[in-house]
Amino acid sequence: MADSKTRKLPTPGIISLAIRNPAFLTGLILSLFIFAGGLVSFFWTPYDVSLVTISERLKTPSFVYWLGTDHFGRDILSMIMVGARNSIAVACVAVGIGLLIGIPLGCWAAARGGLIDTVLMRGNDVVFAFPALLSAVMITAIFGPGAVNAIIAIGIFNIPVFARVARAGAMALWPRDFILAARAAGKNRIQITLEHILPNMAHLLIVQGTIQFSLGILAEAGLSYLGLGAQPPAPSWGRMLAEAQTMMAIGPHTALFPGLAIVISVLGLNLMGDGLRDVLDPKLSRAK
Amino acid sequence: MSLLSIRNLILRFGRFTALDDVSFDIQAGEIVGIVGESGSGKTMTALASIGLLPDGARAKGEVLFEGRNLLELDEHAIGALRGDDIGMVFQEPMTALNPVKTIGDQVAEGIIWHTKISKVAAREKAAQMLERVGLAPSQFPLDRYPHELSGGQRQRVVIAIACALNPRLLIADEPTTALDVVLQAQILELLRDLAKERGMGLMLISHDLAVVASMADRIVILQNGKVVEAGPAKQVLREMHEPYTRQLAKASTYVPKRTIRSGGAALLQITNVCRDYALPRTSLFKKPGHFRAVDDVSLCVNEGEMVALVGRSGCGKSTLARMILALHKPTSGSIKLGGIDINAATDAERRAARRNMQIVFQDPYGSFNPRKTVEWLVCEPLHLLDQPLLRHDARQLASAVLAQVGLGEDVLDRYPHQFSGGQRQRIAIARALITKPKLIAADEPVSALDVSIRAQVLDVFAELNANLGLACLFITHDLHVARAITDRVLVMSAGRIVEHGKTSDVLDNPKSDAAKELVAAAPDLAKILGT
Repeated sequence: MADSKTRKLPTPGIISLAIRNPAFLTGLILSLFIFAGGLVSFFWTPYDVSLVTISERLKTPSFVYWLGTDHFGRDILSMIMVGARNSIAVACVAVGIGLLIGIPLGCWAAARGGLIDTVLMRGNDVVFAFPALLSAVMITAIFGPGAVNAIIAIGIFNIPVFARVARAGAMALWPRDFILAARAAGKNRIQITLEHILPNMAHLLIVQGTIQFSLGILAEAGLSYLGLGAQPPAPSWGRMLAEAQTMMAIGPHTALFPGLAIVISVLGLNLMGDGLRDVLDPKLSRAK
Repeated sequence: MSLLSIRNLILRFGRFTALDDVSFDIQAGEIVGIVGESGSGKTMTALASIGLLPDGARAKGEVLFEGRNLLELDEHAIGALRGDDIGMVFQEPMTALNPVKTIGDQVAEGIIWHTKISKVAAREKAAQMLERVGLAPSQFPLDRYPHELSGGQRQRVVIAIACALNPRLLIADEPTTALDVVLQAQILELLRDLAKERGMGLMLISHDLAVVASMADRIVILQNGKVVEAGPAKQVLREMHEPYTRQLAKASTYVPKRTIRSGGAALLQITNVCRDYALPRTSLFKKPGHFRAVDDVSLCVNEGEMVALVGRSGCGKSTLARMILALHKPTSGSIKLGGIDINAATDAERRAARRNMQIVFQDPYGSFNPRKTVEWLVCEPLHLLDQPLLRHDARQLASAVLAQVGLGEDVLDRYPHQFSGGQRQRIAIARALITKPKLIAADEPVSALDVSIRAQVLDVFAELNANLGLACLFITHDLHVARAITDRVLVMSAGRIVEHGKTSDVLDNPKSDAAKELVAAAPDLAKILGT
């Protein structure tokens, strides 16, 4: 066939492309490191996190206590590992809330347009107008501190983010010819959204998801720093930082390691997000 | 010494050879046409001539501009030539201009950069240049933005930018492909006049043999990166020594064999259809105005009939097609398919009506969801059946319609990006055929395709018409396509149908101004060569 010469070469799979992207690979390794710590803590931690040994307080890192101990003599490595569970769980559920509510809202706004679009998006703007962390403080102040309320508070502020991304992505797809073809095939808006719109903007949502995940970890740390997240004795990174604040002069390691854990996970997830964006959305990557 | 002299240029990307031993010259004041199909290396030749080769390209040979080899000059030296001595006009006027800068600034920018004159003097020069390309500052002030201009006007701005500094060589890469025939004729005339009056060499790149034949002094025919034939344009095209040249010429004037069917019963009846679009609100207290895209159109397509709807871009052709397919609702008037008013119909009736009419779009790249297999895509209209088919039956049906358009069963599990434009357009036709429609509306179905592939796709339509008695509404601005394949033609202008009749009658003796304009502007290879 004469046409066959112009056929494009098979494109390498997304996964192999992603692995070859240095930003994604670095981010993946950093995030896996934190995830693995959280997972392992379900079965094993070097010490029991609730074990208070006053004689061992404020020990600097050594072979006995890898990352040292805090002012109650608790092992910091164990606390960071268990705290990772908390951070990841809160961020996961918060992103989940954003995805499950935000994406349908954004798709609905894009599919219907007109009044529904205006009302939904202006509602979005209202939620956006509140500084997220302050409003989360307000919610937890009203309903009481705790991991569940932190999740809800962070989740609510993920909704408009995903709604906006989904709407913008869907709006760009609706005028395309293949959508017209689907309409000529008599499909309704819901079917078109499920079959044509969502698969073609999945990359946008995945990238946004990773970034929101890292923001979720940061927000959780912020809330528990203020004492509004997970309650004692459950360890969390934010509260470890808060407790270490007064010990900075005598035991700087007590603040250093939880801080590093937050930096590594946020950096890892952001690098993953950037790498994914380059791989999934070649239009944005710099021409080399 | 030649203005531009390309000597034995070889261009490779990895193992792929984009240009293979290309040599030709352009003299001052001469128009050289470069013709070839997609992938023949036309654009690479242009980019090499302006020193803008993409990264990863390895070039051998010489590209001599006034004796200096561009392949050996450093970026700084080439930058000084580019825009000053060598200008470039791109295919897509929509993307070649910066949307946030005024047209005056964009023309002045290059003048300031290269001549270091004051901004005021540069704007003065820019105004003169814009006036020369037909955008008089009294009518088109310098502070207009690109989006305030039409496609043809934007292309004039691009030409003004390219010619502002009196370049000695102008490279125009498919400058009129995105424009309709009337604008095409105007832009070509402008380019020809500029080349002659300024003694400028013009490299005109086109896939359209007729365009090049009407413009060029000399012609270079490229195929797969090689020069097939080169020489004085008229002579090359009259004598046609090379088989590939003959093949190109034959394909671009191709008329499929057709058996004319006698008119059947009325299939599609459109009566007094109008469609308004709301204009943006200008004041909080005034009702927004509206723009009438389709104005009181009535027409009829009979069973088994091939009808062309021709007109310039923006005349309302595509809006009409979308209303016929019930994708847009008319503001007033009725559209009946097989006696059923599709806008007043019940859901079941509308499904039946939709089964009987399908659409083929212009752009074979945009008309498929890239994430679905061909089988899924071709079967999509089966959604219109009242009883869903079993997967196995649907697959058989899909391979049957693919066979009708000349594709094998092996394509079913592949994805659209694995196909060329022509193959995709066949898949689009297969998708339209799967519900066994009586009418296909084809919106510029061949204008994005190379001439040889265009001929194959026209053949597919002619065969379907002959074998299945399929009626077609061909929406096109290409009169050659209309003449090749349709029985009747409707000429549309500013939302109205201004002329209709037998295709040959209307196109040979146009009566309305709109039709006359189209016929006069359409490049015709046979007429140019005087045969």
